[in-house]
Amino acid sequence: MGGVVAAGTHPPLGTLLERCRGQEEAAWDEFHGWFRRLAAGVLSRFQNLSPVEREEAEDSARVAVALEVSGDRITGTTDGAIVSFVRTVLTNAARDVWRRRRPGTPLPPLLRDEGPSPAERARFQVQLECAETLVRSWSAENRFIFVMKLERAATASIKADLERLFGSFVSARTVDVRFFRLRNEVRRRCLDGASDE
Amino acid sequence: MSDDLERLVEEFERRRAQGGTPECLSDPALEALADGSSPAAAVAAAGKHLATCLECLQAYATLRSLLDVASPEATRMAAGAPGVDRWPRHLAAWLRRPLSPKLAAGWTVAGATAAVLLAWTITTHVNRGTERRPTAVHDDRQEMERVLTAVAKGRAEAVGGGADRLATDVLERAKAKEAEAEGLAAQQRLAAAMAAYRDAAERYAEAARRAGVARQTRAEADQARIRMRVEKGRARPDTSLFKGGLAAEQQGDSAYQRLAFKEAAGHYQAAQDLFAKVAPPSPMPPRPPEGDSQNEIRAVLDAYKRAIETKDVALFQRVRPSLSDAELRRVRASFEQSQYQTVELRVETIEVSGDEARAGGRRLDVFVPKEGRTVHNEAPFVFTLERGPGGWGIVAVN
Repeated sequence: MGGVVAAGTHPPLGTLLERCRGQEEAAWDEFHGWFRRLAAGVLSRFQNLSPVEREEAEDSARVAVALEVSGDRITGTTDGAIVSFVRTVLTNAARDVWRRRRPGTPLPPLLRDEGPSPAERARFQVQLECAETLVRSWSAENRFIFVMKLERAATASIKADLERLFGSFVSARTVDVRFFRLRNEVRRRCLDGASDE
Repeated sequence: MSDDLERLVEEFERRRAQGGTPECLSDPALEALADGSSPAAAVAAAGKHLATCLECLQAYATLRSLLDVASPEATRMAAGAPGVDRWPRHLAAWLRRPLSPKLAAGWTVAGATAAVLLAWTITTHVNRGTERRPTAVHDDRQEMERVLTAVAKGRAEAVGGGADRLATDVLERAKAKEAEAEGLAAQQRLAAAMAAYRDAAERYAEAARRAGVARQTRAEADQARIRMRVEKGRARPDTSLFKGGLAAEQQGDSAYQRLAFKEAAGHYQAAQDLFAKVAPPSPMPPRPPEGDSQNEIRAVLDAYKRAIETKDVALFQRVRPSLSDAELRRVRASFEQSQYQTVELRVETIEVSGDEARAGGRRLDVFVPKEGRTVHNEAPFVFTLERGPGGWGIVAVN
């Protein structure tokens, strides 16, 4: 679990859940720590929910997932499948909180905002097309680094994936430096001209 | 700016959700790729696809990132074990993300703090600085800083706690007082501004407190409504008492809409009482006629339901005689953690083969914990039963 970077150094998630079902206290502690981190990663995307609402969604999802674990009803066996399942539960919980707190209010995409105004949407569309054209013009490796970093994947994971998927061996520092440059290029050419440099 | 970049990847996510190309990687394929369980040939093919498909790449990146965040290494690091700084960086990145509009509004107080403190410092130095000891000026500044921090904190707690919906009037009064304080500060009437800020902080605290009370009473109303609905499901609808129950339920709904949660809970309780009066008596587990396996099995399922709803561990052990000690401890712990729990079993099939049987259907569990929020879970079930010397018993629940 955690997968590719440190493969073989720790037991898979399925084993952890198995230990939970065996009523091992330490396993439940480990599970809760794991769940909290995953929940923070997933729920931070729902910017329209308040911190209290995100906690409410996390609580609700935690109980639901714990019940599924106890009842041995999680069908996925790989780490990816289990993470994907828990992510879905968290996402549904976040949407439930939104609907409960704002009955009748349309569900915005990703619960991120109320939706941009027409003028903003037009501006965003132009920026988006420019950025996409630019990103597509890059090499596959650079596209990979850019999207992975935007999604906050760890540099070590990106480095490992570049080796595994593209046969490309680069240092962790190279990954970070390249992302820095690529991001600034998008900003300079397609957004508002600002950069970190 | 980073917000715009995030929108870019969100756009890819939306497109994938709307359906990609036939060549796009399935969710299970991405999951296997991310956790390293893909075979080598699949990795090579996936690499080729990710090199061209931004939508699949974004989906892969999200999953990979979550696996990083939730890895055991991250857990150990968060617990203080030595290691690389991956988790702190994730946390920092998380905190850097834009605040929700409500909280962002709350943070304008922080900006105001700097402005007011600057005005305060200038005023005290220019107008009175020569007459007062530096320590007095310092004390005043510290006091203003403390009050402004209290306003910011009170506002964040009130809004974050739902006061904008649950304690609107008090929150509005707090906002008005804060606006008044800002006006006074702009006129450099700083003593009056300080007093107004203090009032605003107190009102925000009161709004947060009231929202907290309202959340609690709302939870009680939610629980009362669940109990009422369970009873309603059992009641006979062709009776006048049932109609009375419906009326009480509507009154409850109306009160709930007005945020009068305590009143709503009262109406729901009244409705529950009325429905209970027209519910058929709960069947005790009379021994069904010998040879009638279907009825015997239904009686066992009914006893299973009753054991959970009445937290009767002994009865639970009778209907599930094969439970290990560890499983029994888990059941006992679950009972202890719940305020109450209801189970609705909709049995659709019972297949008997000699001394073995399988009962299938759907179950609706409502779990009300002593602490935390109510959980509703609806799922299919399959019970495996075996007949022993003491009759039918459940040997597996899936």
